[in-house]
Amino acid sequence: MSGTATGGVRRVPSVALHMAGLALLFTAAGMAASAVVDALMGGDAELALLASAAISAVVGLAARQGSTIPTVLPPRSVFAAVSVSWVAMSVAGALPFLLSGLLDTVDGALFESISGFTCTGSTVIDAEGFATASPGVMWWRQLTQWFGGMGIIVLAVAVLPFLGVGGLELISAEAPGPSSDRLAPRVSETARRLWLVYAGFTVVSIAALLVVGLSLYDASAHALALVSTGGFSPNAASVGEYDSFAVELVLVVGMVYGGASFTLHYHALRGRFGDYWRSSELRLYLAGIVGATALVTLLLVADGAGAGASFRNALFNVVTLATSCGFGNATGAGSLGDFVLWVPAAQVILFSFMWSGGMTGSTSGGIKVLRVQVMGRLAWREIRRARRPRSVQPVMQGDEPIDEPIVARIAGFVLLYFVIAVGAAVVLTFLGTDIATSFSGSVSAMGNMGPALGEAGPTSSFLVYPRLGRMVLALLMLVGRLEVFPMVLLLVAGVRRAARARPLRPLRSAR
Amino acid sequence: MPLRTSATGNVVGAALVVGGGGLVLSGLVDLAEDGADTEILAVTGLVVLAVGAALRRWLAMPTRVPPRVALRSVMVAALALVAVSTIAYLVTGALTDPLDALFESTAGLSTTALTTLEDLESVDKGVLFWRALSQWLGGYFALATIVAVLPFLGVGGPQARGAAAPVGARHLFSPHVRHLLRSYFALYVGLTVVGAALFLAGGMGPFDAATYSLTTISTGGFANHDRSFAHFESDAIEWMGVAGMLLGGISLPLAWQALRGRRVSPLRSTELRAYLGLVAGATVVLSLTTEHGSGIHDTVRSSAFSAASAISTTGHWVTDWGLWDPGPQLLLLVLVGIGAMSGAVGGGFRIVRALALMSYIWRELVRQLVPRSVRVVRVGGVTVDEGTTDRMIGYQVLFIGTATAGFFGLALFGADLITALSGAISALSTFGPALGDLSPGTQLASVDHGILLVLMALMASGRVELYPVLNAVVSVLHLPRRLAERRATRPTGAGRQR
Repeated sequence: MSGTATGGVRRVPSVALHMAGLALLFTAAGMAASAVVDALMGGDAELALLASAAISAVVGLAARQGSTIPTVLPPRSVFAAVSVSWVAMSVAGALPFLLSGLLDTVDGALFESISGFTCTGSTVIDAEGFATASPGVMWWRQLTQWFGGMGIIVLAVAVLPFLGVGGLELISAEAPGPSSDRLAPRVSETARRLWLVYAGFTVVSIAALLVVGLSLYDASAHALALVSTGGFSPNAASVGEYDSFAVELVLVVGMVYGGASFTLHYHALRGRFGDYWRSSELRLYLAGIVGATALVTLLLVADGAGAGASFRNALFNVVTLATSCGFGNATGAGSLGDFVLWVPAAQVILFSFMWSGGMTGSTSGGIKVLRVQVMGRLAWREIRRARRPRSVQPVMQGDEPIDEPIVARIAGFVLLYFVIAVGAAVVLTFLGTDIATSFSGSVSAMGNMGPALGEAGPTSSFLVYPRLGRMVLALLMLVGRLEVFPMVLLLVAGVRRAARARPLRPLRSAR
Repeated sequence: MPLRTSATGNVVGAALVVGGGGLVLSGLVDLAEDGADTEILAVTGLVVLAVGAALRRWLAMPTRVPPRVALRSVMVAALALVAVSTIAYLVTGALTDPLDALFESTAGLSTTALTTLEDLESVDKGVLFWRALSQWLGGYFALATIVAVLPFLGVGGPQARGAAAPVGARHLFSPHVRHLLRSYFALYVGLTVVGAALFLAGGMGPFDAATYSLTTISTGGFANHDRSFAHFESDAIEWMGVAGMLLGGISLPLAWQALRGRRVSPLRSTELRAYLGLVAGATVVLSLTTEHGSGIHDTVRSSAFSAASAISTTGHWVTDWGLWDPGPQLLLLVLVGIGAMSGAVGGGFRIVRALALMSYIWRELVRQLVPRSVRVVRVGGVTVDEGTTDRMIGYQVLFIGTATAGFFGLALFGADLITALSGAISALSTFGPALGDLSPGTQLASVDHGILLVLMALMASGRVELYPVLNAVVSVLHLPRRLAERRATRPTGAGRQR
């Protein structure tokens, strides 16, 4: 490693360090803002938040000043940068939980922080914690999701498609911003445009929630977790605390918007509304939500619940999982919003959504509707081929055939996703959790959903998993959040060795 | 002289001849065991045999059989066998409810160990023999399908003929395929005789040895006793059962090559090592995490038995895994899902596909870092060609899709999540007993009829590697359009996608 001398300081050419530093500076600013909120709300955690902010700022500055973005950016170093940034943010983000005393173990605080920055929304705070937590720390908890969402938007629209992670190059061409073959200018331009949409969406959400009667604190807190499809809530009973259909409707609209592609939103805001309808992924996404809501409503009514209540709970919970948000509207254990008590068939529908998640180019997690769609077409082709073995049948996306290598990459992604989720479920069961809770927990964590089935339902918390199991789940959240490949590539050193044996074709950076 | 040619009719005729012959044989066994159903089994068998022979005589096999027709023939022949078996249960009075009889027949022919018969010890011997024989026939039927029909389609990649199975160009029942089918049949019979000898040596009576061998080598899992292998309370018999099930899960082409002293393809030997490794590894893990009987020996034996039963997708049991901890339970389910070796009579996803899948995922990981790297999918050093890999992935998606549909279907009829998930995987892999309400030894009479129907669909689909069933589904879906086309008197096939 040769450093470049600038102003007498030897800077390490490491994009990972540089990006992590930037992320930590954002984090520090957020903590400072939370301290202000805490002071305004009369909380007692300003010191903890300010101390965390100071630590993050110092480390962040040091990392940023001590490093520079190298001129050559091979995919490997981009993956490393992405993974290291998220881990750094998560570690820093755990500080307020620890210092304020809300969570008293390092792994607990880390879990909460990772769950926040990955926009998952699973919590290990117990009822007493919710009752006694300082408002500033809870607001920070919401803010972790908003920051996470900011990062994910850029990742999902610009970075990962550019690198073709899991076949995402399918949506690469549509991204707003210069269609440059260089990553850095593309990212900064795209980020600027998307963040405008993101910030606007946040403001509109806050306003809408204020209109339906939430306080400014509650409205802002929920909006932060809404636009990022995170799903944290400062209330122990989540959205069930309000027991208001109006609030739920606002959230449903917001979640559906947040789970859809931000590229499409950007184009629509520029006047190209037709893009919405032209996207077959969006059509399937909406059709899935509508169809599942109808089906679940029917199943609940058939089980003896009232029609109105069935529709309300079906809609909210289908949407919350189809967008990987994870808010809960259960007003208490045993209420109709507690979907672990639903008939099994309805739970299987929710479980399917835990796998698929929302659209590509959004903040939602999971396999993504696009990939599910391609896999469905792949299956259909397989049946057709069995009937006519010699015909050449490409997998189509609209009227265009998809390149076979991209299909292969999508298939590789989905299968790897599947293998990891099942493998983690096996590990969790061996740690003593029952099969339903383990399996749904691993899928939920991997898809950044929030609630799971079994014992880890919407009125419960992830404290039902053993401590080691929670660490596995936190790792899964990171793996799933970064579209599996970057994390797995980092974790599996052998792949890197295998790749290093071959010549790399570097991507050129702007700087 | 044949009056006309029809692949479907000819294959159905053959199936009926075999089924009828089986019934006659069961009647003879009944006679030897002093049962009460001798005449009815023999007469039914003779009638079926006559119908089958007539069909074979009147409808000749055409020289060219298009894939769709081959798939349809498999489907119709399987349905014909199920019908014969259902009639047998009903006319002997062993089962009085038509759905129960249909379920028992489907489970039998799909080599799945789920039974609607209660109090097996009091069932007539001839019926018990037919039940075991139906699994044995079903196992060979599935193998013949894989060898004769599915490699013809290039299906499932490294199937019975190895990785480089040529796509198309081979005729159904060409001399080569006929030769293979005869060889594998001889081997299958040989293995069954070995199995019976093992059980006799372990201390079973001749009737039990014969029937248990039929259901073990075929990885079927029907038992003559309500408590399956636990009935015998014999260490020796249980170990023999382990050996028998392992034999059932072995690839017949591999065994054939080895016995003829030919060089075994490295692909197959890698699969064999993975197979034995999985059984050994699972035995160790299960021994450490479960308990059975008194002492370590009992636990190891029951663990080995469960592992062998799961991977070979047989379904015999000596311990109720419904009572295990969740960890070993889920491990067992994963093993059932992976299933036996390719080219074996066992079901499931198949080990070689799982191995190729790992290689595939690995390749995509490397490609992610080095987009232009040229890597191939390999199993045991053998390159799996791109076309085959492609289809394997397609099969994987279909497999998971079908399991998910089954999961939803079972839940729809009220099965709880664990029962639905485990039941779907177990039935699709033609294993049988699962977890929850479908734990070993469950009385299926108390299970909802809808659940039985979903299980039947899964067992049938899994047994014939999905394609024939999916082909039938697609044909049915296309039926309205085809009828409309015919009504419009357009030439058939015009305007359809080629």
